[in-house]
Amino acid sequence: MKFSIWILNRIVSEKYKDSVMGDLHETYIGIKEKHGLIRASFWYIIQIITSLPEFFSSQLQRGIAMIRNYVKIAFRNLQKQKVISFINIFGLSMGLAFSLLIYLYIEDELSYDNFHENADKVYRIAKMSFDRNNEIEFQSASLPAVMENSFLDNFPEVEALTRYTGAGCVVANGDRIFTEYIRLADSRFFEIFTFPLLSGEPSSVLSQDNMLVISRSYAEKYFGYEDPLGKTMKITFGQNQREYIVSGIFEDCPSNSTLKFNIVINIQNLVWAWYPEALRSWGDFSIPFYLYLKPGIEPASLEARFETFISQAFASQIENSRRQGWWKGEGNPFAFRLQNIRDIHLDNEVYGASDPKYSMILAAIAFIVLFIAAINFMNLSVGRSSLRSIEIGIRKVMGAGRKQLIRQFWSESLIITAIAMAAGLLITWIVIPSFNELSGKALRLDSFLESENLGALVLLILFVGILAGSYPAIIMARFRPVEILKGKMKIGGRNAMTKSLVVIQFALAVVLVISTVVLSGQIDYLLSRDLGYNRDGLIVARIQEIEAKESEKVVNQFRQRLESYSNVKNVSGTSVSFGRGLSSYPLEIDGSEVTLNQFRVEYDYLKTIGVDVLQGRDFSRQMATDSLSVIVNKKFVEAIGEEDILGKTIGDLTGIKRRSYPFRLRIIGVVDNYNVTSLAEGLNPVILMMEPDWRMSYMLIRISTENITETIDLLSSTWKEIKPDKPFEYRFHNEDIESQYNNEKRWSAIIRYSSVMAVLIACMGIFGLTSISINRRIKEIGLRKVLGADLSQIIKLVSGEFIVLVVIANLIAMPVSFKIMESVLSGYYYRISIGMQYFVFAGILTILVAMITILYLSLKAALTNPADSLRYE
Amino acid sequence: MKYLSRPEEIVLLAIWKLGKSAYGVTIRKHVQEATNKYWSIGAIYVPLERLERKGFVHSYSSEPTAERGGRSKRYFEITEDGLEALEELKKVNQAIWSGYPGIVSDK
Repeated sequence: MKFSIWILNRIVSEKYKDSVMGDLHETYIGIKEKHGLIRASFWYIIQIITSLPEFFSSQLQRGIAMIRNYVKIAFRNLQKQKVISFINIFGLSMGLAFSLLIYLYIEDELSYDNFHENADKVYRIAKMSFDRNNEIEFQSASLPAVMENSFLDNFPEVEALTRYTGAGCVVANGDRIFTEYIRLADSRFFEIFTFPLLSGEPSSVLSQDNMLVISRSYAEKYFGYEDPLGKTMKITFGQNQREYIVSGIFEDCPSNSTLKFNIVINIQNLVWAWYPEALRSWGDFSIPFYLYLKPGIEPASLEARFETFISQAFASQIENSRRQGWWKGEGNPFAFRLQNIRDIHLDNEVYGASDPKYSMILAAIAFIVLFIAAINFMNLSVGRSSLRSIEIGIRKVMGAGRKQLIRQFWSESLIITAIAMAAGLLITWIVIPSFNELSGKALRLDSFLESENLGALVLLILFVGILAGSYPAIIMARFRPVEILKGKMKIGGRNAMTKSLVVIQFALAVVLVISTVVLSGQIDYLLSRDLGYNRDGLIVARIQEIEAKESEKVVNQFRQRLESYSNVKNVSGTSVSFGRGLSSYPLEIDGSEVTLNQFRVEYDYLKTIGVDVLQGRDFSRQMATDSLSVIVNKKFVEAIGEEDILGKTIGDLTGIKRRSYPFRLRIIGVVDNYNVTSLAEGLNPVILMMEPDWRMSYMLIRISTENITETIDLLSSTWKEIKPDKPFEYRFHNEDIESQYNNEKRWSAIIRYSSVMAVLIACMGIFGLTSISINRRIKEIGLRKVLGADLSQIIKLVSGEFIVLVVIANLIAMPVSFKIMESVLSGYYYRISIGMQYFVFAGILTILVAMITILYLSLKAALTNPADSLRYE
Repeated sequence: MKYLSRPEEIVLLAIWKLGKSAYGVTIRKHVQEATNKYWSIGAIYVPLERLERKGFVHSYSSEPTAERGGRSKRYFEITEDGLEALEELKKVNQAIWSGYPGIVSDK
């Protein structure tokens, strides 16, 4: 609707604007009620189109009869030049299809969280942490849960607030048992946000600690066709099993919602789900706060008082960190600001938001493809114009003005664009499922039936049609009738403009091709690089315990039961498995901070992942003191800067003599470096320890790569014996590693498809141009043959020119794509260097494809019997 | 006086017939029924604008309503000049049509 308003605003006189829009809307609603959305939308678009000429000046009104003539001529031309019409329509429809997809993508990105009825009053608190120079270092929405009361006391403008967090657990209804990540929120959650309840009252569904609200699809997952309301579900957090009563069912969250959840319980349960102090600790910054402001309250009025609030509420924490030396800056170590819920999704300064950069890249790609197609249209129209020069000449002689001619060519290009748009919609419809899979969205083509999107379609047709039509229109309108009709004029096909447009086309296509090759080279490299440990046959299974002691027991029981099986080689445990997150510790060494990656491990850990001890020894069951021992990697030794470190504590080495973690840990061994993060990052210092009250979340199992299915069966039946009430959730470690690069794979796929498209459309363009130029030079070719030119000379004559253009395009594209790819790859610690081979490959590929494209036409021209071509007239 | 174009004439008559309830939607409906032809919304507003400029109708806005997407209606009313023009037009029409036998034929 926005776009149609825009169009109409330009046309309707100011006075009537409002009532015209009102009339449109009223009739639209009437038709929608009677005949449905599709009919009404169709009517709407027709209305706008048919209203256009009416509103133009009276001069145009006289021209309406002419427009009918233009349409007729346009269709005749389309039929007469079938190949060229196909090239135009196919190319444009591909470009338009791309644009439509990206339009939907961007619209979806912008529509996040707009569906909340009170969206203008709902805000999230973002926390800005400062570094030593009082500059913002990091922003996140994580706050301590305990802040709730004092916050509400200090800010009476807040009508309601809800904290919102999650916890991993095992949910069961009878024998339907699954591992879930459920959500915990305050009782007014469903009043603040608009997640419609199918049953239950928003104000009461979370009022008791033992209430549970479930989504429609999860109700089906756990209850089938039964009505879940009032039924009991069991949730197990580690050792704690609690029972909950289903108090409400909500409609599944829309795909454009920042909050996505299927099961919600009251946040008071955090004491079971996390740890007993979870709601009382001022030091645990991990929970987002959402506020619902009273009507008429400006967020700025709260923000002004945040600083005082922080220095009072967090007084003892700030005091503490000053004393311990964590915080040396002036004022508070952090500040708050408010984000409106609609802005959260794209506010990428705060951790967890989507980066608007991706929308930009997609828009750029769509524009490139569309632009290449539009160039085809321009070039072919100009190239063909000599064939139409007689028509133009006659029109001019009959009194057509320059403006009228321009209008004619515009309407022609509009007609072609409209046809291409229809085809583009069809293509979009075909590829939308795969695009959704790639982009992780739930886009639907029928969003184009909404009136504002319909307006966008019309606008896109106008934009592309007028843009592509203007250059040929202006060129052709400039013709001098006398020269044309005398047959003196030769234009098009070989002028400088056409040539440079072809160069631009191919340069853009080559940039995409080079990007594709470089990106897939990088991905191959990331996936195949040796990580420094052995990942074949390594299985990661989730230990669903919260207590550290329990997690240790699970690993040991599992190991004991499997010891006698030869297919199971090692069993061990770890706090976090590579590719599933990291736990880091900022250690101060000589005044500078070094980030340690810390892992709580079990016996046999090094054996299981296949890493050798270089100096010292592995953890041993014979040594009772090993709970205070630590194994470090080579990188750690480098960071410390001392050679002889065995037997010393971390406290000794850093000069920080404290009895606390990690300073009391004594180094017993040094291992070689291995990669614990995605290869986008480099090696970090690693410490491995067996701190007893630190829980392990994952079990690592190395199995033989033979008889894998049997071994897996064995593992899961052993699990059932140990933990019958919890599911055995496992994955091959290699899958974890690969999924670290999903984002890269996704982008590489999108760029690969678009580069194929770009090359295809650009080649169709030169195919069309060649056919035009051959057509015009058919006599010349005939004469040359008669005079003794051979096949290769003719082919060179016809295709040489375009090959030169493609080569120039390659030369232009190389530095450009080098720059782009350098900046992309600079985000990776481990990266390939962009060698000549990528450019050579892209160059040969494009030149070859271009040659093959033209070869058919030039062969045909070269093989034509000169007698035929010379008898042409 | 200025002569009216055919669409202006039709629209002006429609406004006269509709009286107090003449606004875009009703005028268009009336005109479509009377002429048995499709009129786009734009086709109504062009003559309306001209009529107003010539002073044959005047218009005023009503309160915005929800059924119209929060937009107001613009009601049109025929003016004294407009009535005079119609009167004139009728005379002219009668004068030029007088003597025509009234055989209606499409061909």
